[in-house]
Amino acid sequence: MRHTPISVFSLVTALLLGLSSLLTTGTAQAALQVEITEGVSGRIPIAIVPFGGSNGLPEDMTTIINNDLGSSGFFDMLPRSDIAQTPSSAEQVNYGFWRGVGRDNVVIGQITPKGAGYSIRFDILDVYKGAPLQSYTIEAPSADRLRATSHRIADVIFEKLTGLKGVFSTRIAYVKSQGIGWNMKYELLIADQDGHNPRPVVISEDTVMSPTWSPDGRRLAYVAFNSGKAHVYVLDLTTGQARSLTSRAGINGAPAWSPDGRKLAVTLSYSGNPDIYILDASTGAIQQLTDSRAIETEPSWSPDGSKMLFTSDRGGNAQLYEMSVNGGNARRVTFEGSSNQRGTYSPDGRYIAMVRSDQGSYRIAVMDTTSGAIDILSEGRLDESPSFAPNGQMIIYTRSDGRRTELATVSVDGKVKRRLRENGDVREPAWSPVIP
Amino acid sequence: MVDSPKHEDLRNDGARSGGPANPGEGRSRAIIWALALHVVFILLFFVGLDWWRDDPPARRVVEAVLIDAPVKERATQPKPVPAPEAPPEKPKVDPDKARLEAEKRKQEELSKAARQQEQEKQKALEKERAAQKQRETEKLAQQKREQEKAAEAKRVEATRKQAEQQRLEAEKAKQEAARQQQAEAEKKKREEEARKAAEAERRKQQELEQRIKAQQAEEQRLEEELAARRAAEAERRRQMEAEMARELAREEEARQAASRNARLAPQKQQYVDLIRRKVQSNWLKPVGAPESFQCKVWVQQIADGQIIDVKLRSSCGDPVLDQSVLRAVRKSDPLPDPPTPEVFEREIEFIFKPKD
Repeated sequence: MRHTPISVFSLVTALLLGLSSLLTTGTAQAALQVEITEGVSGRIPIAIVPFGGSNGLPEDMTTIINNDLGSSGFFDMLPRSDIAQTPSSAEQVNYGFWRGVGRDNVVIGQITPKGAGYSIRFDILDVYKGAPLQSYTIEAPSADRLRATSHRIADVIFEKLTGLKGVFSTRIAYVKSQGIGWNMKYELLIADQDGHNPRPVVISEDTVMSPTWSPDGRRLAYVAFNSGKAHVYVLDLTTGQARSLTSRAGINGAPAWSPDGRKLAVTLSYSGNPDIYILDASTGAIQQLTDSRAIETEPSWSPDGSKMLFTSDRGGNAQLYEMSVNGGNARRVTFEGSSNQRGTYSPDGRYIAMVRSDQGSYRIAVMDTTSGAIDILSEGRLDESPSFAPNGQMIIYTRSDGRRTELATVSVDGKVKRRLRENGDVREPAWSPVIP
Repeated sequence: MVDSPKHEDLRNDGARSGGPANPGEGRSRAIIWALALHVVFILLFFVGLDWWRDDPPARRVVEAVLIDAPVKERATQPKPVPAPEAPPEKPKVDPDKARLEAEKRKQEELSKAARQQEQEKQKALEKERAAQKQRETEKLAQQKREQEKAAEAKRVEATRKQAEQQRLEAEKAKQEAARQQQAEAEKKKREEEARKAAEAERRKQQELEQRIKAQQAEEQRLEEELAARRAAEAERRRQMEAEMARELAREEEARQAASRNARLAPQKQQYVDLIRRKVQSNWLKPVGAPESFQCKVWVQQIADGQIIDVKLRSSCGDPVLDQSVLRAVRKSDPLPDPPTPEVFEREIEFIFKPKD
């Protein structure tokens, strides 16, 4: 066999070559690799350029959109005075200018009359990409819908740039009292989330309190006194009819809807001591949840429907407790501060907003249930009644300067606060769900 | 479909016409036919006039014009008929000459009678002479016949002798021819045998040569094959050696690169840190972003750090997150300068990977 030595030689060579090529491909590197493990938190720098064709319109759409986005805490709005260029179509945009004024995104648009209303086309531009991110067209069927349309546009922008649900088309319900002494008048009002377009749904000479939205947004539960007795009512917003579900002796208060909208958690004291009960919204049948000698009130249903959060002074002062809706032992949730009351779950169930009292000052605080960390969001001194926006990113509450009470919103990072001015004392705001 | 039917028809026409050697002949025949036809037409025309006597005159004019033109054209063709020749002139009669003629004729008649008399006399004389001569001739003929008879006998004998002689000679010639033929055949046979022998020899020689040649070719082939195999083996060995050498060179290069990398490692790390810091400061992490995700952004930069291409290589799983990481990179344009140009990389892969 004359070929044998060559075969062995080539076999060895092939093995060597194969091995070394494996080694080289293993070590080859295509590009410099840079790992980015952290970013910065901050607001998205944006500019809303006044839309073309907006002169002479009954509503200033640009201002409405600016206020909406600005109030959310997600955006850093470029003041109108700094908007030196007003393109209304993508071709007119000079991206260099917007980079120069530090904008990540710019919104431009054009309003065109259409029938009895208007057609609004707008573009969200990516300044660093130098191109529109997305273009939209939206219709306002009449001039008096321009405000609602502006909120819709703000929602679209918010959703596109944050990935979260916009809440600018939602509503708030709150109680307003006017007059003094025998001339006191109480109103249950519904308004846009920015406080505009308030309209009364209940007017009474007696106290009205604790409004709360059903999960479908079609009903309001609230407490009203009638002939000296407290009632828990459910108001059907489509028919305007209110129905009393309970008016037992003593306290009938603090209603909270179950996530499925079939039950209400309420505080009743007919048995002598205020406890949490579960009330069937259609039959009015009750089921007692807490039974202690302490005061238990202000229930809040967890979004998954499994737990109940409430305020109890069983530990000596008012603190938040949590227990299963099926009963059993309650677990104390808050420990810091002289008291923590009016607890409410965020829509995702992760956070709990509350009124924290410390050294005589009442502030809105948010606790992360996963870490137990608490953030104080408001300054005090008499801040009350926190209610989460349906996207969990804002909280509406009341603040008081000692003379009068007003509505305010705060972003969950506590960085952006907005006051909603109203004449008269306003109390107990409740943020509606997103109504499709 | 190269030939159109029209072409073929034309060819067939030519064949049918019998292919006249002189095309002019055909042409003149055609002209004659044409002329004849025209004559017929003209006749028809005139006859036709008779037939169409009832028709309006205007129509007749149109028909006349249509037919007239070719007739006119042909009319110029026939040659003019030549004028007949004048008849020859008759000779005139002279009276003097006639008289002399009469005289002459009279004399001629006189001499003619004298001559006739003489002739008869002469005739009788001649007749006698002829009888005499007849008799002499018959005598001579008799003598001659006898002589001829003797000569004939003599001649027959001679002929017989001659024939015998000839027969003998022919016999002899025949024998000679046979002998010669045999000799010829034998010669031919000998020649054929010689040729065959030569052929066999030649073939044998040829076969031998071929065998030798084939053997030589086979030897040559084997030799060449061996040479080729050796060359191939040598080439293979050379290539392997070259490859090994290259491999060694590559390894050496890699070792050098590794040592260079090791030497430049701090600068490279510094460069990576510079880039990381800039991009991290520009990464506005969206609120509500998941705690852990991973995505890759690929960037191409030019020497001054200007970003010329940005691509999302793998998604973070959320459009807003994707936008945020792309924007972080784009916002970092231009990228920081490397501490030393040696660590500059044209391509950079950013791995966004938040840690808790």
